Amino acid sequence: VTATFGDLARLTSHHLDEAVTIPAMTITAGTAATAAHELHRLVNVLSRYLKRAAPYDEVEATTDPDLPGWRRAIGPARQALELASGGLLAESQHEAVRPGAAQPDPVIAELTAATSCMSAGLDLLNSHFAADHEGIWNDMSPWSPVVRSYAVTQALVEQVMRWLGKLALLPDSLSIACDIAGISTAREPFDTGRYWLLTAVSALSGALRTSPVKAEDTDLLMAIPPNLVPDRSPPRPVESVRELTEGIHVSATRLRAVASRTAGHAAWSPAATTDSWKWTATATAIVFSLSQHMLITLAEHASRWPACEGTSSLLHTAAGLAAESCTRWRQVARAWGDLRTETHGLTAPEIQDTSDLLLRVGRLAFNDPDWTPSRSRETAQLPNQARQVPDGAQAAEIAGALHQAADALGELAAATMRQTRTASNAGRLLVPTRTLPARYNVPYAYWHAPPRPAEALLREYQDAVHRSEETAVAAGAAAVSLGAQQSTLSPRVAAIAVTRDPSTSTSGARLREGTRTIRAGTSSGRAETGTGPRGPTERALRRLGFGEDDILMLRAKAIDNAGRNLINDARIESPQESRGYVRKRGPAAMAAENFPGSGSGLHETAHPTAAKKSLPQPRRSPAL
Amino acid sequence: MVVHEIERLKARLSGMPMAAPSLGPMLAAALDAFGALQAACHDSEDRSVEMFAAFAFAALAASTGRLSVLTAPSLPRAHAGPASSDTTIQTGLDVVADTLAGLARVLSMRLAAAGHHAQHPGDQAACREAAAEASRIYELLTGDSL
Repeated sequence: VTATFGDLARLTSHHLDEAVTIPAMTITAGTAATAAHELHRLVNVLSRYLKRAAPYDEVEATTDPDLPGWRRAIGPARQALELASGGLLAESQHEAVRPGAAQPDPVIAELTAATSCMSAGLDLLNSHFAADHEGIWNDMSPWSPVVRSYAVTQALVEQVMRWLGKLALLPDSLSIACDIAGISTAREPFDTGRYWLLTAVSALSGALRTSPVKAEDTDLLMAIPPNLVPDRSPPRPVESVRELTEGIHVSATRLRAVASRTAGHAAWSPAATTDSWKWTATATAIVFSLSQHMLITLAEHASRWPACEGTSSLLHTAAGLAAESCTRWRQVARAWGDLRTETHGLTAPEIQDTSDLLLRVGRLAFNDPDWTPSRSRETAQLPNQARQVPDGAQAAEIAGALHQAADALGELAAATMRQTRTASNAGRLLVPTRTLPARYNVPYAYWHAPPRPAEALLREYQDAVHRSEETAVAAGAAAVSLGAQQSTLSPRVAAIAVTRDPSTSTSGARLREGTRTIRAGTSSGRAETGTGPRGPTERALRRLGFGEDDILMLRAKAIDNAGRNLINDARIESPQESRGYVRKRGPAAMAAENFPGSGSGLHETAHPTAAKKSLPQPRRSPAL
Repeated sequence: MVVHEIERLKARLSGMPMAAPSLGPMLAAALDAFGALQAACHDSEDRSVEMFAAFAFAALAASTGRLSVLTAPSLPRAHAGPASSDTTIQTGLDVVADTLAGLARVLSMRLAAAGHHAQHPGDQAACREAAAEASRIYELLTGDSL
């Protein structure tokens, strides 16, 4: 089990509570300095949290009219923390007893533990980003939009305020302990620290009072995992509903990781084969067919469970979208036709996890612990009574798992679409020479495919990707309506839930709104991000001292926006995209890389174009 | 396409000698059989949620087997058209599955024998791969392995 931010936050709070409630320590000049040192470290980590929440300076924070009050309050709070830290550092430099030098005082031990947990929490959040050569933070995982969303950032600031509130109690008791021990000269840094800590708490709490944090946004913050890929969890002979749904979550997480890591591989990787892509398209169609079946079953029994009004309708909507997705995926599987790469076999990295996911979805659908596609006839002969109707909690878990499956397969499909375009541009899509018109007198078994089949295939993929994303959002809304925690949503859909009109609606309402928007055909369901990063032109002008209202600054923003739009449009057909851009980049990073003087093109890879006369032996990995 | 069309293809394959078969006609019959299996499996996908997975993967295996046969050097040139796409099966699903599995079984055995007797490495590989796909179709439609 992977620790989430919530686990580390709870441990931090526990250690802070312990530090505050331990009876006053018998203090010496040395232990006072050590305590001041530990407090100084804690305050620094808290300051870094606030910097993550508001990565702009004091002047920007106070002059930008668009910033919400709680974000404007971060600047003064950070300033107060820096003053507290400065005072505590001065004391700790005198006679600090460094940790490990002797048996540490219990209070100091708790403070040290709290600092470690708090730092680990910050590292966990930062693991979803990576800074490029210009210092721009780029998304590195599907959770990145959630971490930097308005709602989760606000929840994080509230968490920092809670920690500050606990911490502010400690200098007072340390100050009293200094008085009792007759070292009243040592109390001054604690008095100063307490004053500034309370100032920081006051700044944040006042601002957050006018804009309270929703409990579900805090839940989502607490559910953020580190940017790690879990180990594979192969299906076992008999698994409960809980184990099946958890296994689906694991496979979905792993598939998302595969989707983000294989971009560009199709230009050269022998493991990237049309056999794998055809198999995955077929398996995806089956998953959506089974999902439709289960969602209809859940919809028919929705009145049995304590659920929100309209849950049945949401489930029917999700079932309808799953049916449409299934149809699209069947068309994708057929559109592959005679296309083939020069290597073949089920060798792509996603095969194993897609196989695990399909088996578990099938076992859930038919309540058959041995289900495989080869057992379909036996399953068809089972009486319907053998298929249990889940209880309310299981219904939420099942809908959540189907949501995860749809989302991961949609993300994988988008990656496969890019891979297909890459393979096509690299000349790796071939057809048997016999299927070409007679004028192709080619002495090889395979030859380059004409462009039309690949173009038709890509169009089918585009439709299937959109429909899969829509199914994921609808199934997510249904799961939340059935009582699933928002934190069980896929990161991409969770990002929708925390970025749609965050000031007025609940996450469930935001998802329902997302589903309605999808049905109206006005959105692809993609996450909208809160505050976008600044473009290179705007940053250059800021460095030159231009202000927010300056006309040149407005022009700079327009130039950056135009650059982003141009690059986003170009990505659809960009040969660069298909020739091996491996990193996942935000619009600003892409803009930066494509501006004069950037390192554009550094990531291009050589790609073989020649078809081979004879194909190597197929290498099949076991699937199903 | 109706069941008797599948049976006719099966009879055509069964009529070929197992020992030293004439490879060209054998591959042509195999290509037609894979095309028919692919179309019939696609047609049957919609008819039962329980059987959807089996028919969908069987259609994929038929498509892969057909591609393997298409690369066999001894396949007559005239046999290179697209797989048949339009088909309608009205028979009960169990009968369809049994009929298609029967064709796949004969196909697998004939291709395995043809691969054994083939001289050209390209024919050997094509027959071996296609036989494996036919065997897979049989397994998916019956739950048993050959």
